[in-house]
Amino acid sequence: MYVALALAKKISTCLSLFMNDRLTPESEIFRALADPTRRLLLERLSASERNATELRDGLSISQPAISQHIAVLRGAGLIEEEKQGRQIRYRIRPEGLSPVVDWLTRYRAFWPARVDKLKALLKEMDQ
Amino acid sequence: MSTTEEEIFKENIVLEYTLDAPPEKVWRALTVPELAASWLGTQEHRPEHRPEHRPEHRNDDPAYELLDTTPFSRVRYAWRDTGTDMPETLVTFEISPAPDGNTRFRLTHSVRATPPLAANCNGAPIARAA
Repeated sequence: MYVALALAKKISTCLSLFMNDRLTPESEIFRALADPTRRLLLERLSASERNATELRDGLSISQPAISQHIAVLRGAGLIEEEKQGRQIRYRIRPEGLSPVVDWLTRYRAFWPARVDKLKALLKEMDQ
Repeated sequence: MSTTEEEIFKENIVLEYTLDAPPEKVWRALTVPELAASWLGTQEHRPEHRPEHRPEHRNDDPAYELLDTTPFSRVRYAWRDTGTDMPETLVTFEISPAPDGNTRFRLTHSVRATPPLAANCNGAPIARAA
């Protein structure tokens, strides 16, 4: 009984965190990308569209785990699926990546400018 | 596949420089809050000082939090884009001695941040060095 209560509490905490997570597309996209397996799947899909079996090829990951990763990537709008007969094919959704491209563009300009300031600061600092 | 897409999946910004100062000095510029603030143009946000999540307090300045340091060799910041609801990203500075008293300086900015609490409800929470 006590265990069940504790479990219920844990589940509800998880659920509420999960709901909070769904606030912005950016946070979903970046969380989707934060996982190395999902980045690998995206890398594979950027070469060519694939079905789940082809995506999993050579990876020591279970089918349910792959499905889970696919669901996260779809939820973040990074991939889309198409039914072809009995098969589902997955492919990259380029427009889904645009927030990441924006992020990269911003910080590619940001950091060199900051490092220039760091260099100036190092000149001013005492040893 | 474009270079940009490739970078997205590697999701790293990597910059390398040789700085005209010894590692100890660069180390101070990265870890002393006042010095870091002066070149980053932003303040450190410590968790206990983190403002509540209220829209009126938000601006577009990024903020950082010192995550961990290895003396004269590595410093990591959790990086926050406060103007958006993006999750934290990870900035890593690696420094090492270079000839003539200079410093080899490598900056990596990655979305592989120390994940926030909600990232995985099944696993044990990852302890964060403060």
